[in-house]
Amino acid sequence: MATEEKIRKPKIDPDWRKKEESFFEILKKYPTVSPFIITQIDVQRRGVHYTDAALARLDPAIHQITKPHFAVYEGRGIPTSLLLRDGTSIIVSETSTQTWRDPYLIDVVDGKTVLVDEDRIIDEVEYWEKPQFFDKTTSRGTPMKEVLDARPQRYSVSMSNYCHFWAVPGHGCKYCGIGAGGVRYKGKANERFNADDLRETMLELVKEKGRFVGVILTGGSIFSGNEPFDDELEGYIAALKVLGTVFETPRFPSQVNSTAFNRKQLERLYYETGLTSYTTDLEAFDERIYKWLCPGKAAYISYDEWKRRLYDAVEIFGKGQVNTGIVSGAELATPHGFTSEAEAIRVDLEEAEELASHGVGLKHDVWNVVPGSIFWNQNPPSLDYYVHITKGFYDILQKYRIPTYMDSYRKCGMHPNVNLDRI
Amino acid sequence: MSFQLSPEAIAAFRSPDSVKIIATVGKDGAPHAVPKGLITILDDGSVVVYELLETSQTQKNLVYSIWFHKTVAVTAVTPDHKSYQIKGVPQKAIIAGQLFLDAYDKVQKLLGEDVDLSALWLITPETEREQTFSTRQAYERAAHPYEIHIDHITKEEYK
Ligand code: SF4
Repeated sequence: MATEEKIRKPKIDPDWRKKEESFFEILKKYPTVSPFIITQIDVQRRGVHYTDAALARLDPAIHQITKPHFAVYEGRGIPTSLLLRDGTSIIVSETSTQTWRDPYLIDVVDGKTVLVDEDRIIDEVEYWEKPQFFDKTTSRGTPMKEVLDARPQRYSVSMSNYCHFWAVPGHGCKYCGIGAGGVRYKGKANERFNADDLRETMLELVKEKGRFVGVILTGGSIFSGNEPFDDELEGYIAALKVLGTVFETPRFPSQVNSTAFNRKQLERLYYETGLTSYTTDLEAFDERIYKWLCPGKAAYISYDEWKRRLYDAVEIFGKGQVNTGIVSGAELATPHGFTSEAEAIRVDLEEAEELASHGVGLKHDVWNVVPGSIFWNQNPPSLDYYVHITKGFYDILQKYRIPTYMDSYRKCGMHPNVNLDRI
Repeated sequence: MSFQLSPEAIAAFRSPDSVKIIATVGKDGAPHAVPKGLITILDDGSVVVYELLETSQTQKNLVYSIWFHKTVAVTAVTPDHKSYQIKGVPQKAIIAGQLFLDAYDKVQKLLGEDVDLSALWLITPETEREQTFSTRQAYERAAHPYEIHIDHITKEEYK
């Protein structure tokens, strides 16, 4: 088994294991929560490091590869993400090695690629395989993998690479690395998607039978237009129309994850395209925290108005076709976050219940502390907090009978509480 | 694979003429037994179940079984009424990658392009039992000779 010597750990707390319950203690504490989902959560929370043996198993002809930012890999590509034996994806990147805890190791033992912690094998893992269109280019010379991204069963469109909130000092969401990095696209040819590239890439993608079950369209917020966010809306409508040309049915499995559109905008999005589901993330289930974490969003859309727009969306798209999420853990960031995990959990679950009682689905992301984000130096909460939130959201969705297929392990994979809803 | 299946069971599961059944339990504990067209045995002894419907009860129960290490049972009944039951725990759900795409292609060639494939389940066998009635009857009679109605042993002249 490999050592952890080469892992970059500039500020790992040497005593972190003594301060929280271990993975195995949490497995015992939550016997009705899938061990696979607890594994997903903890690996997303702590990150991974690949040994040389694990990287030697990466085949550029087969696997989806990401170029890491950190020198520790000496320029070599690493797997984009991982798959567990039950089909659960672990959406994890090398950026997570910035946390204050030791990352998991991906190693090779007895010929198997395995997830390891403190020399103990947790389970087997696989690397994601790339779709065939990733090796092709459009007639404009754009690599198709830059037009559409892929996970094991879903493809995605980045409608806009530049989030306008970053144009106003202090308006970017504090946990966000996309927006901060997206400034480099401002005013460039690839600031938004290109319709010709998208059409050509879709024509290649649909030749791959059995590969995909749905698409998500997302991107940075665009507050310009006749009404705020009209230009963002036009972008999604245009992209959905391009995607829709390849399907024989009026609607096709799809999700837009955007800024919260008003009722008129939502009706246009639904009636002018083949879109089936809609997400707009509150990011925090508390008004004070929302204003602090997402000042740009809050400047345009109040917390209560965001919720009202979600309720409108349920009326338009239907129950089970609309959800909202939080960056779970960020509500505990310093200095203005909750000071105890118990308080954060109580507030999150109370608001989750309120939203679900209006038919809004729930999801949460495990907060990945991203270099380049305002919160780059913070530390996510304990595994116990995450499993508690996961189970809490799942139980509320069961209580209000809200289906989760729109964001399932196939169509997203990112959200532990939704991944739990497979039984 | 440590547990070895009999050649007869392997042949029964591999035969397209056998009827195959899978029995699972879910989180409510209720049994769910259904015929499945596509169940076979790989060369390494794993049972493969092709689940065609993502939203089916069997799919939910197989997920439940891999998560919480629950046993499932598959049975093959041959045209001459021999039957073989294998019990085991799901080891893997193949939902993507080249193996899945090859299986997807196979399913569509066999059953038509209208048919979907949700997952290819690999089940590690832990026990095998021949369930052919005459075999079970002989076994149970030998093991429990006094657990029958007495008319089976009453002299002919007194019946
Ligand atoms: S809206 Fe917030 S989270 Fe989304 S891209 Fe902009 S800054 Fe990032």
